[in-house]
Amino acid sequence: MSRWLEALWEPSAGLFSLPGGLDMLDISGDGDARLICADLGPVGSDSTKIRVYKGGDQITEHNMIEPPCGVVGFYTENGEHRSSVVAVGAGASVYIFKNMRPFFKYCLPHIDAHPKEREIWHKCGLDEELNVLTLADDLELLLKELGATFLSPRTLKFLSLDNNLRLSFAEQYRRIPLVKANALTAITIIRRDSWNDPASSCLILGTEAGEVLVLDPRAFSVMDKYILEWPPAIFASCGLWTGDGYIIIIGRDGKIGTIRRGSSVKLWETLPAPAVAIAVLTSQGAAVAVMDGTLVGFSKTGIKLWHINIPGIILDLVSLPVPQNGLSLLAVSTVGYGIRIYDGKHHVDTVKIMEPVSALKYGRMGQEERTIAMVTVGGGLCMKILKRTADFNTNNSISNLSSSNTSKFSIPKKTRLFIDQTIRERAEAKKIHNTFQQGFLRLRLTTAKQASEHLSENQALGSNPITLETNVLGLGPNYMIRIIITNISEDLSSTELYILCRAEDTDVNPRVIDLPLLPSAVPIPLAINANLKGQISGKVKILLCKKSNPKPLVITTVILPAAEEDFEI
Amino acid sequence: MANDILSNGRLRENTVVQRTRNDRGNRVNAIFPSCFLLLVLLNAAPDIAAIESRNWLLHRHYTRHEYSACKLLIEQELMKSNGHEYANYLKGLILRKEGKIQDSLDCFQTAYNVNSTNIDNVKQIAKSLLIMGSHKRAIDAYAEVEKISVLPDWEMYHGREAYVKLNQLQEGKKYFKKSTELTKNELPNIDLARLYLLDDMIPEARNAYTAALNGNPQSIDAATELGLLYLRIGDTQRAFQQFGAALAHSPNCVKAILPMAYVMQSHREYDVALSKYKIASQTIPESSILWNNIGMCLYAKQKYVAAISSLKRAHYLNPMSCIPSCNLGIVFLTTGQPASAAIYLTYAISVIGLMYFLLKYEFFFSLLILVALKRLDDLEGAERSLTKAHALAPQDPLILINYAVVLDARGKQADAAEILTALNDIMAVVEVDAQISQMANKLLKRLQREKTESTTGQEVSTEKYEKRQLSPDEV
Repeated sequence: MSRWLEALWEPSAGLFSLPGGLDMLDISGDGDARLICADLGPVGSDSTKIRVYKGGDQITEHNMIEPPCGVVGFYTENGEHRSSVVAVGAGASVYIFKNMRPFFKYCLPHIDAHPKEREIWHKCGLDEELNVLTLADDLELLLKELGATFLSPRTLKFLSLDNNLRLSFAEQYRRIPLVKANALTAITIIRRDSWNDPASSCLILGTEAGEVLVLDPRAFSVMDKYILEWPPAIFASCGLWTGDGYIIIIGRDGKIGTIRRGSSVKLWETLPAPAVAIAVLTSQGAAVAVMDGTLVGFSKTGIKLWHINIPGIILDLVSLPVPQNGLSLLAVSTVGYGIRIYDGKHHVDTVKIMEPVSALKYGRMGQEERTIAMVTVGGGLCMKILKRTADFNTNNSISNLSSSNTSKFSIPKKTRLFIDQTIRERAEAKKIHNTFQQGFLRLRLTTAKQASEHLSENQALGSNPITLETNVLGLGPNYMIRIIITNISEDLSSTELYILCRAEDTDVNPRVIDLPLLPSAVPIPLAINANLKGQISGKVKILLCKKSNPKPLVITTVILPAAEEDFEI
Repeated sequence: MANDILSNGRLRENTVVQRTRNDRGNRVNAIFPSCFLLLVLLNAAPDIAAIESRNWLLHRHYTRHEYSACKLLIEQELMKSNGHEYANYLKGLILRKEGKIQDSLDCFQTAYNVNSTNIDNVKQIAKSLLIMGSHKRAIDAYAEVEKISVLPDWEMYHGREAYVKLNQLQEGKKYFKKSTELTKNELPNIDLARLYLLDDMIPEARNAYTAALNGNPQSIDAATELGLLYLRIGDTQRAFQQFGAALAHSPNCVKAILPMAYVMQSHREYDVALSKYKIASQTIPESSILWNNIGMCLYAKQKYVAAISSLKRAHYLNPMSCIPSCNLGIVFLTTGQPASAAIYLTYAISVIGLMYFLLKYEFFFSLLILVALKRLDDLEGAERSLTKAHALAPQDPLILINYAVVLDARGKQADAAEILTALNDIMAVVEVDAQISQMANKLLKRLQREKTESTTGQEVSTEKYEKRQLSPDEV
């Protein structure tokens, strides 16, 4: 019996979303919540859009220039349904939409450029005549000195431009004061001062420069600013910002810590691998999905409470608060194992779905409080509703026990033949042993005999003191093979040596040459005529043999190249 | 609304101020798409986005193991600017996961050239070097990390495991100790304990493991290795506890199941041990050790046929190990198949040289062979094996008495008498089995009477060896 109602399955919605790219909000204040989705487009393309869905139908879309790192919906006033806004963080700005119309753009504060770099551009701005070459040289030197990380994007872009484009670029920018652009890395919200719904929330922004900014919901001015020195990758928030609320921050390398209002960053620990996603539990802790396939539960103070292994690759994690049952569940989206629902460390349910789910969001959609929206990796949009009757308390432990008893354990069996042999062995052990020993001895004897034979044969041939050198002369198809035989030992060579030619696709004349007694270290040339039979190349094996010995002493193979047709000699 | 716009966090913003005036006049809320139109009209240069502006996207794809997407985006970023530190860094990480260590090293080098103050870049260079086996260079790189880092970090000390690889254990220990002081992570403690074990410093190793477990109660590695350590010093009770703790966290952990079952087996709880082995066989069906232990369990339960087939499987899975073949020999002796037993035992003794830690049992193997050969009336072979056993353990009373008996049977009374004198000397010092001394006395008398019919008593003495079959079936 499934605990979920299928509400919508639109396999060809064409959405490409990442965790943090989905939110649900009553955008117009009419009581109907919509799904807001940051669609990044297929990987590598730059067609980013913000889409808003009412049920399965798209109602509006906005083009974005930069891919948004997060979409959050919140209220700017306490108790005012019509104050809902959507914040989309992209590039160096946060775009705020009210009623899905552009409303405000917040730009991150700039970072000061390096004084030396500023000096160079400033000087360049003062000059009457722009000297691009000097500018390029100065900047190039600076790049070598500082490294690219400390230079502004303007300089880097200038240096990466082609020489003839540099002039216009420098002309365009040189009189504008130099600053370094910042970039947004993560965005989330925290309730400001009220637990009642709807409540105004502060925007939390993380920047590439390693700052965390908390913005006032009305004026969008910086309320609090914290310096981390490392870019935050993932945020989660808990409680009220003006009260005892805190923000959990995870860095790219897995550092995890919290910020409370008025105090500095408190680091908990470093996770064993980078985090994929974080979900807050209603019991004031948080669960973190880590890249190495584990789900770790932390208490409010940063103590590791539990950890479990998740099968497959984790793509996203959200919390499913079910206050009616007093539960705070976790939904983990995995590759190949569906959406797995956990109650703490206990696996309670699996939502099966055709494709892996790329991004998840649980909340109020339309009029339905307990909707889970899923965007699959293939771009499909799926929504399911958690039944009011769903009970997660039963069969918690069954899945654990059943796994060990399923497959059977078998000890290999023995055949009747084996038993018969055993009986025979008991009866005639001595005989068997003797036969074996005799056989074994005989085997050893044969081996030894063979080995000694082999050795003595080698000795008879000795190390061969005769070298054979072959050359092919001519243009074809009639060739001459010249063989030079040298006796490199100090004594005369043995008698009865002869040369034998074995040819393929070739006529050879003569095929056998008897060798005279070879004096020491005098090369003896021999010539053999070889004519190709056809158009293809031929092969001649030249063997140096001794009469009465079947094995050749030296073997050389000569390849005769195919003849050029035009030549006739 | 206009006030909100003025509070924008931008520092330098002529254009925005301009725009807000317009906005105020028209009562239009700040509309950012039009902002770009405005900028063009004012003939101002557009802002250039920071090159790091897509780092979050790269990182997100990376954490989701979407490496191909990530690589595509990285290439796009590197096309824009080669001085992209994070893209190079991430590319290095991905290449390393793909096993292209040298390429990853090059990427980290590039990242280091872009930003030489980031410790992570140097750390990854060092790690790649370590994986490539360039231990000396890795150590240099870690020294560099130590130099540029403000806060000490356990990884940079733990990275000095390169010293261990270079066999400079003392240096390694020093850095692991430093590392343990900086982290709750179990790795440095476990590595430190392993080093202590190499030096036989058992109490220190135990402390290190306990420290690792205090920091990470769920660490299976630390729990099982501590258990094995307890087993080594003979503290079965605590070893059992540790394996139990490991199994509580991960019920199918073979590393804990096998030694646990071994402890049970040595306490003669064969059925419990067998049920544990059954669980283990799901995970490691091709482990020679597992099948060897199953075989010995079945042997103890007197299911000889099943024992033989399990042991044969163990032997098949690892033919170079002498333990299964030796055990097979023992079982065959029990089932009255001395010919097969002799073959397996001879085999065991011929491969024992490969397992140096078993060499102390070699004389015992020779004895077993003797038993087999004796039953086969192969006195010549028996004498050979005993000569060897005697050379290995010249003071063992069992070997001495048997040697004497066999020499006597082969008609070498003079040698036999010599051995018996040696045995008498030993019996004076050490307490020996009554059967041995009886046998020795009998033989001595007979030798003194210079009679040669000495075949009667031998069966008695040879039967005894089976009692001593300690079945070296440890893991």
